[in-house]
Amino acid sequence: MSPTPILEVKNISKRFGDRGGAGLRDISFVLAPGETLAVAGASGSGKTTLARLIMRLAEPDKGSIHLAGQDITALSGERLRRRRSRFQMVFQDPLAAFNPRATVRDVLEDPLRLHGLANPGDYGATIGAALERVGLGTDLIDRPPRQLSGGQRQRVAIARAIMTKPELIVLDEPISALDVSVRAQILNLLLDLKEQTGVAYIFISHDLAVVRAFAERLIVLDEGRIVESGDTETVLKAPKTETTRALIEAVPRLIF
Amino acid sequence: MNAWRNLNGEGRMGAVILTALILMALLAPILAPGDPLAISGEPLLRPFADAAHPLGTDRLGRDVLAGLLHGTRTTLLVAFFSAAAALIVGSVVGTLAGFLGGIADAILMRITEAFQTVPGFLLALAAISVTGPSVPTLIFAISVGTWTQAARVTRAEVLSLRERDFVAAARTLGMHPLEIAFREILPNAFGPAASLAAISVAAAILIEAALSFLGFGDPNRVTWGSMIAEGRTVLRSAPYLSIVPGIALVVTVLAVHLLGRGLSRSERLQP
Amino acid sequence: MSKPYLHIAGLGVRYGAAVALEDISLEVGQGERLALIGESGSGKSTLAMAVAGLLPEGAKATGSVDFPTLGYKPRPGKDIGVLFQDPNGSLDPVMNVGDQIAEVAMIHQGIGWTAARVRAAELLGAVQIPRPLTRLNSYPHEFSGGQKQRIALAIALAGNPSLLIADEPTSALDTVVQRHIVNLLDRLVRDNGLTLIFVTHDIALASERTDKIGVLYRGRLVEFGPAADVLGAPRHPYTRALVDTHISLDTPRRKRLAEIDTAGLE
Repeated sequence: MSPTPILEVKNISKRFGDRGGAGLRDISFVLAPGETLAVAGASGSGKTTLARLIMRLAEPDKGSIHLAGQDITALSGERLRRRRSRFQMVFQDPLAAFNPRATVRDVLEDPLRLHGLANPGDYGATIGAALERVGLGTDLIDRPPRQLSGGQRQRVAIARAIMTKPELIVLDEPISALDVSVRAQILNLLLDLKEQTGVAYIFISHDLAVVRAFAERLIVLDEGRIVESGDTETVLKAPKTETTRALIEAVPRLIF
Repeated sequence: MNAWRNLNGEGRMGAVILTALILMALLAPILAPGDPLAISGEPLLRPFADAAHPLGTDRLGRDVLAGLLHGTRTTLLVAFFSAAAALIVGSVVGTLAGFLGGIADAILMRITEAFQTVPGFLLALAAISVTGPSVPTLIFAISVGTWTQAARVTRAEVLSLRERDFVAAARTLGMHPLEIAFREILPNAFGPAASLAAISVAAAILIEAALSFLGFGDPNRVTWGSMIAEGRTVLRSAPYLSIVPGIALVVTVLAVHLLGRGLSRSERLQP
Repeated sequence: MSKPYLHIAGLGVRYGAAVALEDISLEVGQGERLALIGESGSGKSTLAMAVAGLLPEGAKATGSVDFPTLGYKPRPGKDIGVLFQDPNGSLDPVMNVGDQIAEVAMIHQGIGWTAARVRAAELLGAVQIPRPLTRLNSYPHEFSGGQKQRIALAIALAGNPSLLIADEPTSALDTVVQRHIVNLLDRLVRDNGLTLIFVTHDIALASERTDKIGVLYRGRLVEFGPAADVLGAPRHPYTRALVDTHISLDTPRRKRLAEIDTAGLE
């Protein structure tokens, strides 16, 4: 283990998830810088609640979450908002994650403005560079996201997340709402960004085939508990619990 | 131009009538120069009897057409500003209540309900009798009685919007809660409140007319309400004195409703 | 040769100037299971809705959709059961599920209310809702997402249809629930001898469960045939790309994943 983990979750519990989500019971794990950890589980297992707790969109009942050594569960107000530039999130449905009235420019300007990352005069150039980094042309800068394809939207969402140069990005089912043909492109983009920036990912998914292709480590949740964890390949080769076996069994197989 | 193309027949008719009314209000000093409250001819001239007074004159010999034109100014001024004030106050209160939740929501909504239990007209009457009649106090008095609806509608919309992912995304970016409430949520919650605008404007016109009718209007301005009140004493001998401003009132309220309906329909047609 | 159950010839659908489907011809036999595969906007749902007779207003259809063995125009709800992606959209939130299923049975089978409620309980049991008799009076919000989709399936089956159209029935569900629903769907289709049209974007799911596969690409049927032939020897580059880039549990791990070059197709 490297000396300071980028993320350390210590014994967090939450009785009920907000939005009626599942609760969590005594969850602990550690994420090293630049590592990708998958969180797998069926619906109701608590994986979305976990993502919301890490993002400080909800409060745990017990336990603490440490980002690069600092307890972010103890932060609030302006100190928390400053700190937020270091951990970002990509949502499942990119369209729902953008203000319906915003253009691509508005979406990408927010992080620049909120964290003072560029002079207002340079916003256009910075946004253009960010779009190019995620494989988009600058010509769609003034379009509203609803006019873009699903893959393009998720690229804009990724551009927004990397704008503040975070050390951790929580990916909440980032490809499950996308067409099959663009899924690999988005995963490759995320892999490239990780190689370039050394960002660490938490990858929330219910599809173990995708998890296996993307994440080196895996924890499996069931009813709010970690039932299995370890190296992805090892867990999938020799699942120890019924939950993991059911998740493996559920992956569709191409037969012909 | 796009807005015009999206409007249906109803909406277009309302827009045309309202434009005409606004033009009337703007051009009143040119079309009917001088003080409309000044005596300009013989009293109680019937309409269409004298080319100098096409709509006749009242008990004191004041020109009805001049009164009507200048009355448009007061009516539209008071109606639009009080509806706008009610809408702004209501949507701000509704946004705060819906976004903050908890105790703030409970307090704001109890206050709103307290206002709602008293009829808007009574509130306006009470406010105007404290402050005295003038155009600004009229606007204040009317909006005191009408802001609650906008508050409730906005709150309901905010409650559903604040659970959406784009609000969560704004939080993860470190946006200040007040900016989230007023920059991210309110503009998206404004639609339903804005479709109340037509009702608010129409209600404001009627309340203003009623207040003027009761003598609580600005005494230095002509309004349709005061004209109707003025005509009441000679209702049997000269009914046109009440009927002419009455028709103006009906046409204006109708136009506002038509435009409001047209606008909300074209809004729904947007993808 | 026996008559096919469904015969489509030269079907085209357009919405105003936009062409949704062009020159579709295919045949499906009685009891066969057909998967329609494609991306969003490929026309796969439009094709399914054209078969169901449920094209939205404003859609203009040309060509023919016939049911030779039926000999009459099938009625949606009775001869054709339809299962949509989002069960929240097809279930009435303020009506108990028993009545919702019974209503369809009453209308299409001409049976009385009591018999229809009994039938509703049978159907709830068939779609594996535990304790079906007591759940008849429950409302949709009392069920999980997967259970709601099962109830929607019960409603689709309540008119005793000969064709079931499932339009991405599991896309909103997680893989474990998807597995249960697909297994259930498969069993009910086989047990009742139904013909199935299964719309999906998941080529692996299609390969596991269907006899025939049709691939739609930009409104055209670019591939149609027995599942093994289509997947084993794809003729269209899009189909080949789908097969080649499929992420499975056996895909050898590499630094990057194989991508579909969407620009290179056509």
